[in-house]
Amino acid sequence: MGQEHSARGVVSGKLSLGKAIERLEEIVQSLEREEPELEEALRLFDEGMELIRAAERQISESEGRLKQVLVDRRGRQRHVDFEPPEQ
Amino acid sequence: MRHDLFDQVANTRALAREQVPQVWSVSQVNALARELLEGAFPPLWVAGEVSGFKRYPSGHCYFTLKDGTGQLNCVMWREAARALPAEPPEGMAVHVFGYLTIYQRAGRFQLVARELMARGEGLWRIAFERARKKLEAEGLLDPERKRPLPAYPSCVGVATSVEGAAVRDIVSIIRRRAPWTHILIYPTRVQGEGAAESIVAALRQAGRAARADVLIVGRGGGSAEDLRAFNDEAVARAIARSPLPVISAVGHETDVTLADLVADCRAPTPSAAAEITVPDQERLRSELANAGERMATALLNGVTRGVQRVERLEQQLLKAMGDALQRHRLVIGGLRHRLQALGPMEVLRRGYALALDDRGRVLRGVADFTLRSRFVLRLRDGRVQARTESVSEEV
Repeated sequence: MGQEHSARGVVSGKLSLGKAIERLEEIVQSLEREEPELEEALRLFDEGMELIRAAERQISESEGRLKQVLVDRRGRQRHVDFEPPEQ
Repeated sequence: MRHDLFDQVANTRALAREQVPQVWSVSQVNALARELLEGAFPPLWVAGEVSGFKRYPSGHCYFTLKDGTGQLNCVMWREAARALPAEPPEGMAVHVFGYLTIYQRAGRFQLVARELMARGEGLWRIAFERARKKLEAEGLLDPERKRPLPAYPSCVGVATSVEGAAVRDIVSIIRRRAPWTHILIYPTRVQGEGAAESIVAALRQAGRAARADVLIVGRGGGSAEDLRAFNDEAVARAIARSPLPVISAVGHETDVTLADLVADCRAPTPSAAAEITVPDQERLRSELANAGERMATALLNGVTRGVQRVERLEQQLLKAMGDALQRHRLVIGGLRHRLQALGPMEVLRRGYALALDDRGRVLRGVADFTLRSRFVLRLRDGRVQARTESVSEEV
């Protein structure tokens, strides 16, 4: 199901924070409720920890873009930098 | 023209004493009356009740203003009528702003209305209710239509004016709470001519690109007139059509706009919309830490459970093995007893002897003996070498 790649996805920026947290919640739930075999539990734990580290990195380090969408005469969208108005 | 007319009037009066009175055409009289009337009254507000309001296909509207003792013919040209949120119903008390004139072709005294205001927000209310009922009948206000908002959007679209407090507040709150979030501004006019069309276009652009995960549509606070675009049926329909979930953020305290009713989520102000849209980074950090702790606890519980299970199994195994050994020991003991009871040594102990040949085979009857043959007698406490002296068979 590609779950093994999820943590790596966050690191490379391919996986959204939302997806990472969704997967993390799944992992916590299955660890808490499904009582998996020890080997599976360890695997889930490792994946979860990697997701947490990646999510924390994204929260702390990445900076979102702020753009204004302009539409030209042909209806094509163009993104230009946007500066919010001063107070 | 005006001076000419007045001069003519003055001249006529001067000449009247001496000559026959001058005859005027109808058009001249009407034109003169109109000039006098328009010159005498500046534009003014008139209060009254609306009667017989009719909008013609041309867009021009005609009605009568009445009070207890009088009537005033009114006309509202298309451009002014376009600003009416709804046609005023019969008998509605209104204030009309306009200028007095005479419609020359009919010789009719009338008020040309530029603005018509119901007391309070009467007309807005009527227009709002009408559109709301329509949208409701089409199911566009059903609670089941409301889509959930993404909990952690990577990109937030904002359709609002690029000037003013709304966009500034939204950007600064998203930056503070969730600085990793991308923001796309879809510029719109939010009031005045073309505002509704511009909002509809922005919604369409945002939906077409679908770069954003969620869309905030709104503006800062304002009067009912200022918020008009957000009560526009076309805007409400564009929100309902949006492929992205929409948060309405029209700054106002009391009234709900059509946009609010159709949106997936209603925020009371643009700032509140920003707060609803993105998570707070501090809370997110503590949630992540919490998830880590829960995982560690669950894992530890799993390990403890595993150890306990192993211990339990070990005990069960030992117990089971112990039982088996004990059982085996008893069985073996019993067998030995029985073997001992059945064994030849027990017989010998009772005083019997056993005759064996030189190869150790038991000699059971006289037929096994031959004369002079040697054999061994096995007794309780030893052996006796013996030889067969005679054989006699008992019958």
